[in-house]
Amino acid sequence: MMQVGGDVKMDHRRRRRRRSPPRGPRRVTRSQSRPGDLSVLPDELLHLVLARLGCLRAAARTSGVSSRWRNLWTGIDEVAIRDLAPVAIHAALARLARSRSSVSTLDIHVPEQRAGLRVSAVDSLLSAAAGLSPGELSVTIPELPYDRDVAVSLPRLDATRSLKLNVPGVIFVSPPGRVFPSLETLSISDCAMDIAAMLPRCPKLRVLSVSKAPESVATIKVHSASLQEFAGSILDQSVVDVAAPALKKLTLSFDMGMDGNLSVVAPMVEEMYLKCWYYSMYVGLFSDTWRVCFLSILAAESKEQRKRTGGDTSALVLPRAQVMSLKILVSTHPSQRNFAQEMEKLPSVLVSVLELKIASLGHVFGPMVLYLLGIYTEVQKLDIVLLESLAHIEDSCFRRRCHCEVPNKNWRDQTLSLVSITEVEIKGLRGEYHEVDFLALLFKCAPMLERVNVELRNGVIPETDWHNLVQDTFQEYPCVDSTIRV
Amino acid sequence: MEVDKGKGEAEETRKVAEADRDTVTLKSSDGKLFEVSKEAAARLSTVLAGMIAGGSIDDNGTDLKQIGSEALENVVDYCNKHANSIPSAALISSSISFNTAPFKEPEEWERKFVDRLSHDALFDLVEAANFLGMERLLDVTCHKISEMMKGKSPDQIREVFNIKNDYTKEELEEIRQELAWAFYDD
Repeated sequence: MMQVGGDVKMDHRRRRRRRSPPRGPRRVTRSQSRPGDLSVLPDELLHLVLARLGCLRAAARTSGVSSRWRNLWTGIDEVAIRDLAPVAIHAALARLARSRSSVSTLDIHVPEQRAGLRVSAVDSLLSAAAGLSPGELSVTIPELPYDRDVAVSLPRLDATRSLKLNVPGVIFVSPPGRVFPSLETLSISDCAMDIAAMLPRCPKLRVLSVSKAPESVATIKVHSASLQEFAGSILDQSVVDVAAPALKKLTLSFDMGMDGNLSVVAPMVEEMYLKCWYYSMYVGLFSDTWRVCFLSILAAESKEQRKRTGGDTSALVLPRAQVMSLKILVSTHPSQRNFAQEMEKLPSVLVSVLELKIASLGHVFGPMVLYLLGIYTEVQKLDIVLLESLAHIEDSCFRRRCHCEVPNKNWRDQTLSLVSITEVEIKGLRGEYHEVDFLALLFKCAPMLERVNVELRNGVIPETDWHNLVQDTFQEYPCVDSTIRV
Repeated sequence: MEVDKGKGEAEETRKVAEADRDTVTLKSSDGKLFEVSKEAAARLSTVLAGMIAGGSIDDNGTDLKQIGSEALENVVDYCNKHANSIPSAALISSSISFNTAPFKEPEEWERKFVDRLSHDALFDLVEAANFLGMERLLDVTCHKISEMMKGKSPDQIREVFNIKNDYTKEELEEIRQELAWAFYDD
């Protein structure tokens, strides 16, 4: 019979602790204990309980419970400070430093009502925090009312793997020669740092997050050999320059007005998410433009994995292939940025699945989709969702009188070679005739087509003619497994 | 020979059947047996995962001499409930770990699960979770105890948890002075 404690692989740290005799004479053993007495738990488990009180202050107050509890709180390894003024924080950190040389997590949050700090206080708080050699350090301080764009030197953080800073009004600088040898994760929010100068000093950095960078920062330059993930959000910056040979995941979300320069060199990238407002496509529409406002590119396999966790089991797509999802809407404000040109600035992709969410406002979308299929000729699966307009927005298309087809009237007669496409799904059809034309064109141009599913928008009852036309098209290609759901 | 061969085959079949079993049997310190889903046990307990991977699971009941039957029943109950619950988005870990709060909030059913326990059962479960390397259960149980302490003075904590006060008045005052930053507002 096997017993725990043989040659079983287990957490040795825990096992050793568990077997060591209880520390100190004050621990209550089970036989001496009174019912419901929390003191039966060993120190290391009580530390876990105290850490979950949410603030070191509450933990320290338990020293008044009994002599067993007197210094228990100083054993907390994951320290959070939420409820203390800066002077008290110094006292608390100094007391901790007397008992221990390091903590695994130190998360300091100076509360809002304690605002009114000067920049020198930020400096000394950081130094005191660094003195505890935290494995993870997070510092959040509300806006400094008297100081703006002042430099604060980063302290030595040799053991720190994760650093998170949210200190508005401060520019963090790293003194000459200072290296951050353990840093793997860096997050800067609402404050500034010369990232271009910082990254070469972080040889192990894997994850970088920059959000709400102040306006004073004009360029975000992310050049790193080790970086695997970069997330930049709400960027007003006009220049974003990423060069990261090991980068796997890129997330960028720009402010609405963003019309600047983007450069990405990341040959290994597997996932990209771009939220933007500036990729126009001049296709088909006369006065309006199609604009891409969200774009994501995922490795096909990770997308499949995600679907699987959601309970869906779709067929596997070839590895290396990618899923491109675009959200496209109609806008009367053209931009200088052209979709195809902008895509050339991103790492090249082999799109095997094209997912389009189109807020068409009733416009003829066929030419725009054909334009995309002309760029991404490897697409095997085309997935279109025609979004319903919001209640207060009226269709901007006036059917036959609309200009939406004027520049490209002949799109129905186009001959395209869509040899890769095997599967098409369109949801949200409105029962309009240009939709049938688009379907017919797909059947004609995609000889390898195997499956077509179309679905009408909820509550739409199409004309009999429309329905018959769709059925006729389906019957013309009996080899294709086609269905329509009303 | 024929018979031996037949016996060997039966043995083989039995072994295969054992390897394929989707539950494991655990034995408490007082000799009671409990069945738990192998998948859930391996996912939730690093120690059980190590034993399953290492083939050191006993079909007649793997001895867990440090865990009493009440605590083990709760452990098994938790594993089974966990196997049946749909994880919320918060539990599906993201690759970027910028958690401000190092601890994840318990799910609704986990709250209910620990709420019904007596203090002693809860403390035993904390120790069992720690012993079995069940990080999530340890998190949930410790969270529950901390909830019972939150916002309470040392006097109130002593009362809730039946802890004996061995301080003199002078000692208590000394502590308050020493940790003035914690006990008094500035």
